[in-house]
Amino acid sequence: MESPPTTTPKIQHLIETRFSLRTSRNPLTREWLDYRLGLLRKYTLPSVAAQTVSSFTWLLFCDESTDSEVLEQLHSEERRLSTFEVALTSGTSGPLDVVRSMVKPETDVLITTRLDSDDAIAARYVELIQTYAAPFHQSGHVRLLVNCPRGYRLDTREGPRLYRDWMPNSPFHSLFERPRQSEPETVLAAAHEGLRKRYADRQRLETLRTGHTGGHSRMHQHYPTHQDESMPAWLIVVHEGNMVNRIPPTAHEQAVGAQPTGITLGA
Amino acid sequence: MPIERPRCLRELSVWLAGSDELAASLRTVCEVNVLHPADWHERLQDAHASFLLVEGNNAAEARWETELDRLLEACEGAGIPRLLWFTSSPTGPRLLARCGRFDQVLAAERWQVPELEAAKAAEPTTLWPATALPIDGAAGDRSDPVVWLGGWSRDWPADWQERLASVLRGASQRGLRIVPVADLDGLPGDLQECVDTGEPRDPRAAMRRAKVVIGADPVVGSSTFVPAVVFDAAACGAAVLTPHDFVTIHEMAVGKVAEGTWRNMVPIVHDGEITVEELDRLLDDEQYRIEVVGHMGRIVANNHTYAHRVATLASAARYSVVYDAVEPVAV
Repeated sequence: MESPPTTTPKIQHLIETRFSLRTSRNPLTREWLDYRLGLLRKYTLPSVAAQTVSSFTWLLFCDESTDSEVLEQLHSEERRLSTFEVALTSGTSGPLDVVRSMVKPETDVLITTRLDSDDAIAARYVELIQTYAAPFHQSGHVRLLVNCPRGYRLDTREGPRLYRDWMPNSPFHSLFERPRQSEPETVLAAAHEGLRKRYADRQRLETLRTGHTGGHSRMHQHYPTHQDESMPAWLIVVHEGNMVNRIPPTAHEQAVGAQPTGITLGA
Repeated sequence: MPIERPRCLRELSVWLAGSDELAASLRTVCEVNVLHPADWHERLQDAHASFLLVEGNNAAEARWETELDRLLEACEGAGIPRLLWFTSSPTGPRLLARCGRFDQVLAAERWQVPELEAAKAAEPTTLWPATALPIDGAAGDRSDPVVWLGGWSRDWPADWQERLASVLRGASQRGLRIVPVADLDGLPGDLQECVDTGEPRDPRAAMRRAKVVIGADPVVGSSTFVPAVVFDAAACGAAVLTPHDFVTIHEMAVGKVAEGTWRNMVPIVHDGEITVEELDRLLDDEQYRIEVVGHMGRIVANNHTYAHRVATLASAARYSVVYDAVEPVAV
């Protein structure tokens, strides 16, 4: 049996999180920013800080108009967590420009992972995703999407209530690319395009939803997709501020007091 | 029996306690050693395994009743991951009772998972069926307007029988041909005239001659089941309608048919009226049908072949391997 060549690719792994990107002509309000900062600190930050490897960069995209006190609070988190980086965006430099400017010329495999600023990932999530870098590098794929279908939903509105869920098109996709062969599209490709238009037009969008046209829920239609079933890999927090906050029929509730396995959350 | 970590699908070696059909599908992707209750322990002497896969269906449950515990014990002793994949529905009681002895249990039907969890299955999850057929069907030049690879059971729930009969009656208005692939005992009398009574037809050939395939499972009568025929038909270049409800799960097959217009590429049909409506759209607008078929072919190529499923099974056994790239499907 012929074996694939043994090579160790140079990996670059960026986690992309949209935090305070503008959705209208008006800057985001301080009240909204404080609410989102609370969610970030309670769920997303502790889960990323608990990763079992540190060979990644977590980019938090903020519009340059973001309230300076909020930015200062984020910068203080940046000083505490070495993998965390606040990335400022503007009308002339959107998230895609930021990501492309960070890709090192020697990178064989670029991994970009999508993470919403109110969700969490399992402590082994980054480690698991990176185990696919070598198999991807040895495959004939130009791009490959890796999804972990299993995860949790935590409904904080009543309870809290914990559900197990399964999403073949989750909002935690990781896109594997070969930046030396073609310009990176990155996992937020569809969102980048939408944001680029928004920046260009400064137009008001009626909604900014996860799963919008061409978003994560349809990425599997455009890229070869691998589903990893090795562990529950993520947690979606359902709160009053979600654009989509229904519990889907694929989710089933866990016993009262059950905790999400392998995911570190804040107090 | 050394366990070597596979680096690609070709290096995977699967011990399978399951059907010949599943073995044939898996063999398109990796090495498969089919075990039999009578001599499994002899076969294990000179073969290595990446994992053991037990197929959960009635046949496997009956055949392995006395030997399964010993097989699981042997694998556990050798450190070989044990996976159970329920490919049918409902789950059988004997396998359900042994769920806790597997490292991971997977079910084709999402709604079985709470039942598996209650049966103490470790890490129960969902794994849909897939197609083992090459994705090479051209949408045009087809002689049969609408085909169903049929089977019927009087044991199905009454509401499922009613739904399927209504859908088939709708399809009969547009020239339905029923190609028997399973027992048709109990098929409503008015649908008998649609049954193809000629020479036995190869199912693949039937799908390749059909413009539209009714994606209803010939054996499992469950509205939430995921029938493999949906993926097989798409691979063969047929458009698909289905009375099963699974398609809506996270937009399995939503496609853009015009600027700002998105439609389900595999329409869910619950009655004859909607079936006729969807068939009219697909059969009377050739260009639309060709677009739908191309779109579904791409979705299946990207997500629903046995290479995808074997890579996912490998992940359940804690191996990180990916399937090889395939030629993109033109849309």
